[in-house]
Amino acid sequence: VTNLSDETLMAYADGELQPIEMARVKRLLASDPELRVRLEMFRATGRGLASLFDGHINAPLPARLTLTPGRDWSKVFNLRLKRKRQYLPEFRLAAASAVILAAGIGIGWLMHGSIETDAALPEAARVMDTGDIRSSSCLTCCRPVRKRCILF
Amino acid sequence: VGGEAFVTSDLRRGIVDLLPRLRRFAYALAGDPEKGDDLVQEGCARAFASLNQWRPGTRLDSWMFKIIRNIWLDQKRAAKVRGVLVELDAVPEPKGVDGRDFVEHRLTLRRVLDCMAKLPQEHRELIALICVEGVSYKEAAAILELPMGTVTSRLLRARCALYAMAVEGQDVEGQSDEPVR
Repeated sequence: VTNLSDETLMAYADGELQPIEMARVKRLLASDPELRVRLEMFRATGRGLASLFDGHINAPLPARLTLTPGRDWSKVFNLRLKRKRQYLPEFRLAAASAVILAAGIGIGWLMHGSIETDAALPEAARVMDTGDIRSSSCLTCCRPVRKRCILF
Repeated sequence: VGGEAFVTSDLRRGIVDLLPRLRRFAYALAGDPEKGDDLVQEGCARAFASLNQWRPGTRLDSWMFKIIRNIWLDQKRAAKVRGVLVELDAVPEPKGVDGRDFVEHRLTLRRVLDCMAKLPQEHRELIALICVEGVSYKEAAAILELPMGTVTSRLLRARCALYAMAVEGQDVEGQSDEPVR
């Protein structure tokens, strides 16, 4: 009795083995009737199963599949355009939100600058007197004083 | 932009060319031609809406099999939540297939599908991919995101169970590989 695993025999039936291994199994099968019986299970449940579906896939496509995947391209495109139109209001809402957010950030930035200006004035005066920018920090934002902080 | 449009058009055409295989795969998964076509329709709609997610170098058939398989799994999960729908009408055997000899056994499509329906989901999808669709073990592992060893061992169990039921007439139901939770 040949010692061949079911996995190997199944892979042989499915053509999944390397050529050398395929040839080896083929030789073993030629000399071992019991192995051929075992192989039958994998042949019966193997890739030939596809042929059972021939009647189904050779039949005309149902209308819904004829339209959907693009046999009639215009309908597909119309469907997609319709979807886009449906999403358009959401897009506009998102765009409006983005503008408001950007405006808010801008205003905040300017206000932050003005706060910096107020708080930094004494410091700015010191910096201007001493010319020592590097050793100074903006009192509001705690970052090293830069020209922006002083000039705002 | 023109290149993208070209690729998109090619992909659509590629999906259309795949329709017979997609229908066969979906039929094998669902066990019913109408439900199979439902899966294909939903799969195509989903694919068409996300063509930009397809990456060059990816096999289009594998991508589509994966989409359809995911829809099938979603439907199964949803059915689990809302309860299993029982079909009262028997599915007619497709013309030209009934009584057809397959190898030496009289395996008909109906018989195979009935037996596949008794297999656990993870076995059924392997039979559909590898035995019905002829996808390689390696490709099946990629589609199902499983190690090759798992694909081989599951496929072996699935085939043994299918053979026992369909050919030997045993009343064997495949055991799921999923851990009990």
